[in-house]
Amino acid sequence: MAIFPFVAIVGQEPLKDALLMSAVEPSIGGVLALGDRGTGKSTAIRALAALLPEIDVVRGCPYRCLPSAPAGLCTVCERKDNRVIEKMAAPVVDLPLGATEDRVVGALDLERALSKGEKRFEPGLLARANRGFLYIDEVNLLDDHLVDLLLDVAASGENVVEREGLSVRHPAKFVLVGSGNPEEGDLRPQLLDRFGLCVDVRTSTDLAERMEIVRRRDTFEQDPAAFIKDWSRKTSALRKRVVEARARVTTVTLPDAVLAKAVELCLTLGADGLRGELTLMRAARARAALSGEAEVSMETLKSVAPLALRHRLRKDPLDDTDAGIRVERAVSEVFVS
Amino acid sequence: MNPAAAPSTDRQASREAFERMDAARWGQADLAAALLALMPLRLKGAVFDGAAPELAGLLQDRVTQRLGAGAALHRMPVSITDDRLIGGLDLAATLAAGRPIAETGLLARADGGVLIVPMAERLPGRAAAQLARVIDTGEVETERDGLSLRAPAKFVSLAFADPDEPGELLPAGLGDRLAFGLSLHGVSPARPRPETLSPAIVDAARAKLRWVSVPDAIMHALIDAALRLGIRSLRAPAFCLAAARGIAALAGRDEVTDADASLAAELVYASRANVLIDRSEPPAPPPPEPPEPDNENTDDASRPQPEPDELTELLVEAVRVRVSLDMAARARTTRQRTRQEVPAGKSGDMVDSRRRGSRIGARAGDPRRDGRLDLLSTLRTAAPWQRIREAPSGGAVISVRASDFRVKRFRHRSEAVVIFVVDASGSSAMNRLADAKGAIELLLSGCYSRRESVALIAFRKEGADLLLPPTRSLTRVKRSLSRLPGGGGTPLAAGIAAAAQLVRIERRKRKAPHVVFLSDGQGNIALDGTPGRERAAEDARDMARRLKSLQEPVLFFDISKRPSAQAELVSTEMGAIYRPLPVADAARVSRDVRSLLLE
Repeated sequence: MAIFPFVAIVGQEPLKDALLMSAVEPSIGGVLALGDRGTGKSTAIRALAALLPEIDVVRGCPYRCLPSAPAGLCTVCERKDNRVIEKMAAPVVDLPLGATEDRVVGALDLERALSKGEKRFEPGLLARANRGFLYIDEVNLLDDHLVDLLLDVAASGENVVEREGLSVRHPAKFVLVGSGNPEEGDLRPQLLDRFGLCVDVRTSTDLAERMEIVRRRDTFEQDPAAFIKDWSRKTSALRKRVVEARARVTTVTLPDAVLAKAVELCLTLGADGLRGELTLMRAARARAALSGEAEVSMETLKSVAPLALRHRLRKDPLDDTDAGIRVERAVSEVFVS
Repeated sequence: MNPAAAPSTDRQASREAFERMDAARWGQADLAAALLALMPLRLKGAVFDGAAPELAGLLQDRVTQRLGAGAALHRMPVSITDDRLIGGLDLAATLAAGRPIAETGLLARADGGVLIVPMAERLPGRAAAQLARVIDTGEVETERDGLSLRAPAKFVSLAFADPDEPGELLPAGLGDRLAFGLSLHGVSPARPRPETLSPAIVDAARAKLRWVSVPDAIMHALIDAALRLGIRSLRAPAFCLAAARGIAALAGRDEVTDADASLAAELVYASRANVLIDRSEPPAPPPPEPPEPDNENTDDASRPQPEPDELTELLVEAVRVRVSLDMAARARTTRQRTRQEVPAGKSGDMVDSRRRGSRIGARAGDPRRDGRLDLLSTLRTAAPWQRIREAPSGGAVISVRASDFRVKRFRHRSEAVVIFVVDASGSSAMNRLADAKGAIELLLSGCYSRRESVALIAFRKEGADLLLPPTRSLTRVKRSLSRLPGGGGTPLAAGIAAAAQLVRIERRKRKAPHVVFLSDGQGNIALDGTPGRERAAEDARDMARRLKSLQEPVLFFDISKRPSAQAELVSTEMGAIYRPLPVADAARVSRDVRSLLLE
């Protein structure tokens, strides 16, 4: 099926930013997109697949190993003497609802076991997602134990399988992206802050913007191939930006003054734990890298604060204030002094 | 209430009007069926509310015939399991062959055809989400039981909702993904319905479709109208645009006209419109003629929103008329049904199975420790291994090992629905509603918030309204309770009746309903909406007994200044736990609900 180009998505800047920042700096820890239906959450995430730069992999490696990083090599590649390198599209794996655990983490290859009596590991979706994105639509509908498992693997970057007499561990570094509609059931609070960034996706109520959205969608549906072609230059430009940002992100510096503000902000908001600070800094770096800056400015820090902190605030059932507004309020407080 | 005395000419005229209406409403449904066959991939499907079985059958057949050769009908039972829906391991074939054999799921089989979802309002959220996803992506992905499959699954979905149930017709995410939502309440199943849009016409339109253009002004008005009707989703205007194009193509035009747009707006927006429409307004005249262009109305510049242009106004008005007509038709049919209804406790209520909770799947585990063995899943797990395992000793046919054991997972009794029924009449309304709202929010934000959902019924004026359909979402509670209506008489009986009905609906969804009343037990409006204390009290007692017969836990908060005998009487009649609540106290309500009902 043809995929709507990422660059042709109108509005939804926070979601697009969060996804791009994660593509630049996977250690941010994933994105949770919450919001109304029909806002194009899934569209944006699925569009990412066609945007991401291709990756170098070892040919035939089920875990898409990075050829230049021997530490991350899996058992399959380690045994190979002659590693051929090839390019492939960065994986964006869409976790199907109703997927069973054996297919997610991997299990014994039954066909092979039965036909040849050979004990071989059949990698699951976690292997397929290595070095890419794993997307869970309607994260509130997935079994709790499966979500926990995914979050654990996403955090550790490694999938460990001990079952059916198999003992396998393989790299599984991926950006976990979840989406859900809070009107269809609130998410467990423990789940929320395990995602690095959280986006509140809203439908635009601006008529001109809505016109443009519907018009582009309509043009796309009429002739997807032509539409994608029309946008291909912008797509490659953005792709180039991601590639450059990836190269730059490790060298982006974080001035002490900015760091101090980041810490102060987390304290003001009571954003629990170290995770908030870490995410805030990583996100700020990625954002700076994407805009071609060598160091993180106060402005950059301010702009990523809602994404990085809004889901870490303590919940007060009697305070109706939107979490994003609470973050913004704290931002203006902290940055005034 | 007393239509008998109308003069015969009036009756004649009203019958003619009724027949015209009947034909028009069916005509829209049939048009929707033609449009779906014309553009199945863009319009995806429709929800029909309150269609008689004969009409449902006719619509299904028409869509199928117009789709052309090779299109088949598939039914999606509400209780369908994951493996039947998206496919999985075929147990029998796997055992016979000694190797894993996949079974195609319903969604993949429906590719190129029509998927029927009867009783759609009962579809569990999970199955609805599966379907919604396949509608989005056009393919079904199965990652189960060691199998990894992908199959195309593009089909037209026709969902039919059961007429007598209030609240949302479809799990929300699904309804938004189907283009049309039409009410067929009261449309006669007996009248002949000649086919005006033959498959040949649809085929001709299909060839024309590509060349149909939409003038900018119309596109603008369609999108603006959606916004003004409170429709936030952007799928709706996209559907509407496509439908307008289809309508023009069916008429053989190569440009969309205002009338096409208006028709499309009715088909797509009426079921989604979110603005308050005054019910007291009499069902308005047939859709208005295009207005004169010299209609100047520019003095209202103070509003933040710019004035809509005429076409937008026309579209909004057409949708409003459609919504109020649908509401009137629905009220008519449900009134008839209430009169005929037998006493509580329909045969389909499944009281016993609900107590255990419903099965939601299986997981690996030890039956001695983790609960009940799921035999079928265990066999399914063991099946593919038979060839490599040694032949079982002692003449057993299948070798099952401890690692194969699967235990059943149940949705626990903790899936409770707390239904608040609140007296919103008279001057104390706002206080009482605020109390209930506070209690609901406290309940939901409690530490077990995931396990309960809440609903709110308010009764006032002539009847009861479901202000908040069962939900677990604090967000939604806040949104929908921010403007609470109040005032008027006290239709206690209607409140109890509404509660009993919701109890039945929730039971069918295998939830455990609990009812909480906030009332002084003094009704003054009878069930049929007429004032009068005596009838009102009698009706309330009848309804209370009916609620009691459902044997669900009920908690009654007596909100009168001092505990009243009447409140206690009604409370006893409904088999409730009685609690006086002389002063408003949301925290106490929530505490009592938790300690007396839920724990």
